[in-house]
Amino acid sequence: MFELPEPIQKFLVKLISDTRLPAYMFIQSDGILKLSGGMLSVYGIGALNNDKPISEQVLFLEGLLPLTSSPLFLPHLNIDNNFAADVYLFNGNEGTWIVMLDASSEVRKRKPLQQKAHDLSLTVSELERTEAELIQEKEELATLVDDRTLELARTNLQLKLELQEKQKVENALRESEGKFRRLFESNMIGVMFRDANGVVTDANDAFLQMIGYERLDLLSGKIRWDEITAADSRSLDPQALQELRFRGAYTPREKTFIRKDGERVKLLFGAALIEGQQTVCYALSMD
Amino acid sequence: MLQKKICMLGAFAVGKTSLVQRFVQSIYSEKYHTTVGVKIDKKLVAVGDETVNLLLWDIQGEDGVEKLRSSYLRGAAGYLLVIDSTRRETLDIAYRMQKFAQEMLGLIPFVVVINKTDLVDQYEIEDVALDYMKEQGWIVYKTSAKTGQSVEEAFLTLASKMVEA
Repeated sequence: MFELPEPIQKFLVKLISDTRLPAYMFIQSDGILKLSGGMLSVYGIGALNNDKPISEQVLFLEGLLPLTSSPLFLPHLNIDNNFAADVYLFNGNEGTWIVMLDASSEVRKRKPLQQKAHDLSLTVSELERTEAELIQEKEELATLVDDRTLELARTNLQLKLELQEKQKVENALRESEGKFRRLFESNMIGVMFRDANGVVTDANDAFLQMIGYERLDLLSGKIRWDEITAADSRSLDPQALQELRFRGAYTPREKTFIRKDGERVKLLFGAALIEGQQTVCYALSMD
Repeated sequence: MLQKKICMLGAFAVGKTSLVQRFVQSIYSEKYHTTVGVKIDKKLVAVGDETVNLLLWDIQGEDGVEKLRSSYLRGAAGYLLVIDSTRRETLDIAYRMQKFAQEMLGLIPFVVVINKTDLVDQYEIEDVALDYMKEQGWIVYKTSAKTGQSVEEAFLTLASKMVEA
């Protein structure tokens, strides 16, 4: 260790004495205070009794003596809220020296900076917490959107399938209607439609020919079911109607009709229900 | 008369100073005032037939154990490990400080204090952490320096443990 010239040593001692309010104590190895002095009172340490145990007089030394490692430095120690001290403990000849130097100025400088740093850290923590909450909410929202999107995709697929099915049914219906229309127009068998009131609403030429009516009679609503059915064939109708209600159609059976000119004609006659409470009937000549 | 040195350990702004003020002076301040260095207070308490002078070293809080000044811990007979229940990160700092204190001071009595529990809506300490501490045999108190909840009990329990030790 280099030796400072004596004038500098004296200058430093005076500088410290003038600016750092030095105080000191010397405690023997047996814990008895042997020497004390300086500005102890400014650090909240009252009148000390030499030759008495230090533990009862200076409380902050509790547990520190004897020193297990020397020196020991306790910066910015505050006992009474007024002055803070930098405390140095080091072993000397058969005892421990304790030196206290004023650190109040340093504490006053540090306090606002440290306060600001801690306040900022707390603000950052709060912001981080808020950000984490927002991220979590965003993730939950994204999951919700994914779920909804999946649900919509499923519904969309279901709708597409239903549309395809509907299209298929419509196509089949159109095809069936086409076939029926061709059968109707071919006049290979007689076909007629009647409504719930017994009015014949449509018929092909073959049927009109079988019962001897004209198309004009048909268009003017003059062909009525009860009038073209022979009285002795009418008794069959309730049974046929019941079968029609249960099965949607009834088995072809022989039925006698009255032609327009009054002549009786026997036809093999069947029927099926179609939409709109209409009944389609078909008839084959028994000739 | 017995004298025991207690160190207040924990991250900054967990409420160490508020706990000491509540215990020693029965006062509380809403405003956060940082502690520079260490502030020493004392309080006489009765433990059984003994009167014990507790010397409370309210040590400047740090956000890492590496910044904790070990000289402040020298000679402690026990410590209070303070956690802020509204900041999960102070739990990890407390774990590290406990490890550091144990390495330095050995197995001396300590009490864990989960502070600010009056802020119920902001509580962040998971049950698993409490279970862990209980499994370790640690004494844990949920406190509020603001309301005074369990503050006295925490200090007196530590005092009792130090006298027994």
